[in-house]
Amino acid sequence: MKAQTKWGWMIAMYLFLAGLGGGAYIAGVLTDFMGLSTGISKIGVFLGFPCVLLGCIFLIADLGKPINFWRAFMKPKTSWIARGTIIITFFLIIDFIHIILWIWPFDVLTDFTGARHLINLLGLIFAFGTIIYTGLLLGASRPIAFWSTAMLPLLFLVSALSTGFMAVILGSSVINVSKVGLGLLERIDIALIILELFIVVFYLQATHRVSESRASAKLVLSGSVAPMFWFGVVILGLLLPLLFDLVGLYALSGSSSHIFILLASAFGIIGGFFLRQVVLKGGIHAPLKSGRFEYGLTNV
Amino acid sequence: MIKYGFVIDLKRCYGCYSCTAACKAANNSPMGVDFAKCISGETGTYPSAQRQLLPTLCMQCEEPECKTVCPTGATVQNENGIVTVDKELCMGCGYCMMACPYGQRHKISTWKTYFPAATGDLDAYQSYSKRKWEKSNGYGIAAKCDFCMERVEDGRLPACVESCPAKARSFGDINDPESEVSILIRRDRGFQLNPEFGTNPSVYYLPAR
Repeated sequence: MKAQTKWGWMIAMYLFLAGLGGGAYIAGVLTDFMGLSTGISKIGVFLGFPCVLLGCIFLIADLGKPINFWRAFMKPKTSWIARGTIIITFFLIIDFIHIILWIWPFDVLTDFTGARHLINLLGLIFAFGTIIYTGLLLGASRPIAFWSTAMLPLLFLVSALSTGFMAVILGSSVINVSKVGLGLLERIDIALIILELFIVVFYLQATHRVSESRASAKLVLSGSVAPMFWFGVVILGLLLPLLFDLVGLYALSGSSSHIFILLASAFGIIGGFFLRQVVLKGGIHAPLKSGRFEYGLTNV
Repeated sequence: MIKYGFVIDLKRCYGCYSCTAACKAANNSPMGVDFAKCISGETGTYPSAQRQLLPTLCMQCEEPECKTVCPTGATVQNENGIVTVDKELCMGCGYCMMACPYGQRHKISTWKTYFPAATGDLDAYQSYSKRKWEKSNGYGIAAKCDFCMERVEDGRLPACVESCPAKARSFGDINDPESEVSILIRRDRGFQLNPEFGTNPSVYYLPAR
């Protein structure tokens, strides 16, 4: 049984950027709700739009007929791509309005807290929708049991939040803004990384039921995808960020602490892309079954 | 209402790939696209090993997964049960290729020749083929088998049925209980591939032994 090859790195990039953009927006909105640094909040809200839009550009570039991309809206009744396109469009519109009215060129929302929180809430809903749908999108492909599992949307949700938080942490370290609440984001991110480690274990454990997903798990743990999984996802994306965050937050202070947290965030973000790649590359179709014979599909 | 279906008798199939070749001739499909692919399977170990060829084609499911996931509405199910794709509407996202349990959606980006070492322009046969393919399907869309609808409407059999020297393939109306296919399914224990996906394929197989 061979893994699918039709959805490659461009789709992984899209899944990754949609998650990161949504996660960063959520980080921004949460800091705003909690009344922490406005600067950090603005970075999160600002990151959402360009990241998700860039992701969509990757997605459209991967189409066989990009001219027809606007037709992706046509069948939300049954298709997760259609539903997701609608969710993402709403998210982009809301975040665009949010940016225009709060960050640039206008700054009217600062004085209208109620209106701002209303936009925050609307954006929050669609940001979560954007993140979770990426897992459901793959899950609708039932012959690929590695994707068609309840764990995948959860894995993508936590990874998206984690990479989004890291992007905001990275942004607020580079740009000169008030750091009130940055420590809290970093602590939440540590919790998210630990949670993600557990979910990765559960996700792989959940593959035991059918032969094709067992083959997927084998491919990821010890097959051709294994180097990317162990070095890209587990070490670079989860263990090193966890270690560096802990060291940076609790063992060091000042500029050395700063560097550790910057590195942790950068590694974690790259790991988020590798995670999407590993999931896509590990997708194996169910074999055709006739009597005692199993026939692996060769053209997928 | 007619519902077209297939019966493929695995006892009769001896793996000559006539169906694959006839399909390619009828549909002018380039390298990499096989609407009627035969997959070879093995089971057991020596001395009790067995081989069995499985001829496949689009199963024209009653509940087509490819149609369910299609975001554009390009994949449609006709009244006679045949699932077709409108090449003007398809955007080539490949979602149907991920969702089809039988691997029967095919997307290519360019024409691929069977003679890669040949230099210069395509020969007359290949350029004819290429022209025909571009007219009927083209590139970037997820093409599929349509049970040779054009031939069937002309009163002929699908190319793979007509060419099968072993008479392993039968074609007809599975809604009519007196049709050849219905009788074969009933009498010779016809079964569908991977029923666990709940797609209710219109292609039935008769057991190899």
